[in-house]
Amino acid sequence: MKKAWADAMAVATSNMSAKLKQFDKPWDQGYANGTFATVACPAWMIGYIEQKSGASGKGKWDVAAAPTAANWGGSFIGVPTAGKHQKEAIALAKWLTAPEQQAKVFAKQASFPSTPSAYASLKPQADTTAYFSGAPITQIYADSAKTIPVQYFGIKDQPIGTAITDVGILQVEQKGKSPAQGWDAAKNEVKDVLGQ
Amino acid sequence: MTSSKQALAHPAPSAETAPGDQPGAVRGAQGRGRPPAGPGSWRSRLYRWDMKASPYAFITPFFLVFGAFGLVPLLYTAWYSLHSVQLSSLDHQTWVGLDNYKNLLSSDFFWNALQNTFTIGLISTVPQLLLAIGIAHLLNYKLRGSTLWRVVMLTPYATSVAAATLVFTLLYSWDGGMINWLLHFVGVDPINWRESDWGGQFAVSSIVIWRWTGYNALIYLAAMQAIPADLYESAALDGANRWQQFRHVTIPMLRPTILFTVVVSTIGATQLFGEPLLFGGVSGSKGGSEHQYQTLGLYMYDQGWIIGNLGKASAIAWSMFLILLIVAAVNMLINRRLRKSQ
Repeated sequence: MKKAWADAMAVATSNMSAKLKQFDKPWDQGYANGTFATVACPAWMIGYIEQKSGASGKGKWDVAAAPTAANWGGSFIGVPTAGKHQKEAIALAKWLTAPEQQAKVFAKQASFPSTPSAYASLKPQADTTAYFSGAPITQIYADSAKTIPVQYFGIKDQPIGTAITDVGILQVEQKGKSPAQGWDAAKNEVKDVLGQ
Repeated sequence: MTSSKQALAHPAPSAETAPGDQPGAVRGAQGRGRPPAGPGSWRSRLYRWDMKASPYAFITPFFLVFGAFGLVPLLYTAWYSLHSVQLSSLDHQTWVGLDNYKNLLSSDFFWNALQNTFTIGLISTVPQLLLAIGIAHLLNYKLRGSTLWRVVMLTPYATSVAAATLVFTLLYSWDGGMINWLLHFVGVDPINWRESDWGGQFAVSSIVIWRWTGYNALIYLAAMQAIPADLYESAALDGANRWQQFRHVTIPMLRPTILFTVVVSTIGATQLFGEPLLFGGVSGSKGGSEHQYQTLGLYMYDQGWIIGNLGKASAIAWSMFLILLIVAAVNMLINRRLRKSQ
């Protein structure tokens, strides 16, 4: 956590950051106009990049492994205990996460599978490979995925994440606060989230 | 319905129009205009009961609907505000008494949101109403295509908050927004509207002003057209110029209308929500990284639906309600003062 914060501060206080919030309108415009060079992102986001950068971005993107593999959300499948058709729901969830289906989805929109046994059978579409300058994305993602730690997600994971990125880091990056002030702001925000 | 209308049209005659009676049949037997039988008879009692009860019966539907969708949620929110409730587990409520309120009173975020609501309300309402009076005054002159001008004035009001805010967010964009582009011609460096302390409040206010000025202008215009022309005539005879006529005839005659628009705008300002939420973009419910333009409505939304502390959000909702009551009381006092001074 400390190292992640220090790394983020190193970027936020330098002139390397494009000062954009993720999934914000200006961020999308940045993709379309090519106003930033690099984005640290999860595996499933290469479809998003392709969509937002459009045809003009073809062959101008490349993929490299992040220094440390981590989990940045994505989707999860759950079956509520109150459901009327639990058995069928479990069967559907199993079918959706089976290697064959996941390989098909990957070939179509490059959503990286959650099932490790699917890694071997992955074949990205030729278009996707061409878009990302022929990067060996299956290899890069499969290698990274093997080193990801298993994480527990609390109920307040999302608002706590927002408190760190959109309050703490943003204050340092765009309001000229010191990293210490940013950290205090994030801490206060997290306290508010937890109702303390 | 017909029977009740007849009851209102002919209050005196008989009990023939009591609800449940078949008007035609009874009328045939009795005839119209016949005085009611003795005061103790069941017909006259039924008639008196009808006159007393019917109005209540007619307004009941509103109160039933209001009770189901207004009062019950209001009371339920009060109940929630005395509990610790999480959005993720609504069934588990723990009684905490007034803890949520104590928590609010000691929370910097709450006071900050209250202050923002007040300042944004002030810088959006005052220019808005001044502009509206000026525009209404201009529209009150004989103009060519006056209907067209009036319709144009009302179009911002007919635009949805979401669409308007989206366009304004693009205009105020830090990098490549039109406003920063215009400012660079006069030598001003690009302003980070969203994250600067006053820039966000200014931008949000400008959206409110844009949307509501035309609406208020039309209300003022309607009131201005109801001012008798002879007042202006006699003022002109006394040698008052246009500006003096405006100040000494138009404004005093508009006083009740101005008060109405002030009350409505104040209520709107207290509940300000959509504009700052959408202006903030991603995690807009924070109202900027330092909560620069987080209004009370936004803080409530952030606590209730983003963070999931429903108990605290309910306490914020009730605090907002109490604040509105105080504002309404102050408005009423000022109104009374003004009337006395008249």
